[in-house]
Amino acid sequence: MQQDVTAVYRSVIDNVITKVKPEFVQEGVDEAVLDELRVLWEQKLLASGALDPPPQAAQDLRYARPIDQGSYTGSTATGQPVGTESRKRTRDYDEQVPSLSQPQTVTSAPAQPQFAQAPVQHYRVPQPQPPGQPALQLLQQHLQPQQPQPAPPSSQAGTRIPQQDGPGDDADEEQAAAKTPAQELGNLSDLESDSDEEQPANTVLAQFEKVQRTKNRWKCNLIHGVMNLNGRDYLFNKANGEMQF
Amino acid sequence: MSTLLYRESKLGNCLVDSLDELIEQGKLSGELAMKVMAQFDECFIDKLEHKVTAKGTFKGSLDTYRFCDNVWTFIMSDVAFKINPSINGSNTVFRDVRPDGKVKFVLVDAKLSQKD
Repeated sequence: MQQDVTAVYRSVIDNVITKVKPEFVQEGVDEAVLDELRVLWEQKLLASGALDPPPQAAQDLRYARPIDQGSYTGSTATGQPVGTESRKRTRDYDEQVPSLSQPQTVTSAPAQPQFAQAPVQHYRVPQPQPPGQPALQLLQQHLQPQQPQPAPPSSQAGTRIPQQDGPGDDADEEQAAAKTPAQELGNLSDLESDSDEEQPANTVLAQFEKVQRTKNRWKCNLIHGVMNLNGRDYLFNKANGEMQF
Repeated sequence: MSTLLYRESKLGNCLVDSLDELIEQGKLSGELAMKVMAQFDECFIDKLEHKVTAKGTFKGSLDTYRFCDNVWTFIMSDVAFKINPSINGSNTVFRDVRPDGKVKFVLVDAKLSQKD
């Protein structure tokens, strides 16, 4: 089931990327950008956890496995295969770029270093989520230099941790500095649970063929549905539902 | 038009975010991003129609319903889904999914998308 979803999503990604390639060429956008789009898209999809494959499906996903492990263990050792893969890709671009015409190398030249950085940043995206400790370390790093020179870092802390940037800035910061790490951890987990609540709960996107009602009983026939239930994605071709109002 | 619905899926959202990032970095024009989204609409609906074979049923209590501009919106609670990977598969391989909390259904008219 989950393998099916992964396969369908993979084919959608492949299809979209191949079909927009002519458009990119027409607009004079370097193909490296298209590849970057693909990498970003796949990364975000994996980070969203919608696919989160069961163990037996893991070997199906050549790029999913290392990232999944990285997000759970947080170790750099498991993250390395991913890094080498992206390095290989950038090397491919190195080979491609000289063969392109001059005006395009101008646009691609700034793109390259950014691309080399971009995937690495995204591999780290899922990491802060499970333990919450990296975020705590970040917070502490930003609170510590604040004591010797209080004026400039207050804005810095505000940009990195926008949640702390409320009205009564000074009082908040003093309290946060005075708190023990355990208290701050509690504080952060509160913030995380808040953001969880903001996320839309389970959703079903589909097309209806028929919706009927007799008294308080509803029946509906749906086709071509995309469901996100408990964070996982499911697809269906047809579905029938019975509901009581 | 109704295929725009699927932009709200995880797959669609991830693409929108990626495109936004590239636009912010100045690597893409908004126009090109729109073309990518149009391609995505086409591809996703095509795969849903031809590659997805799963069928399902669900039961639950309907908390809210609304029908506006040919779009049904249902908010349901205590929903139980049964999903069968293959439309011709045996009925014994149903997979039960009971989502926590409420489920929001956004349903567009199938007839409208076929016209497109």
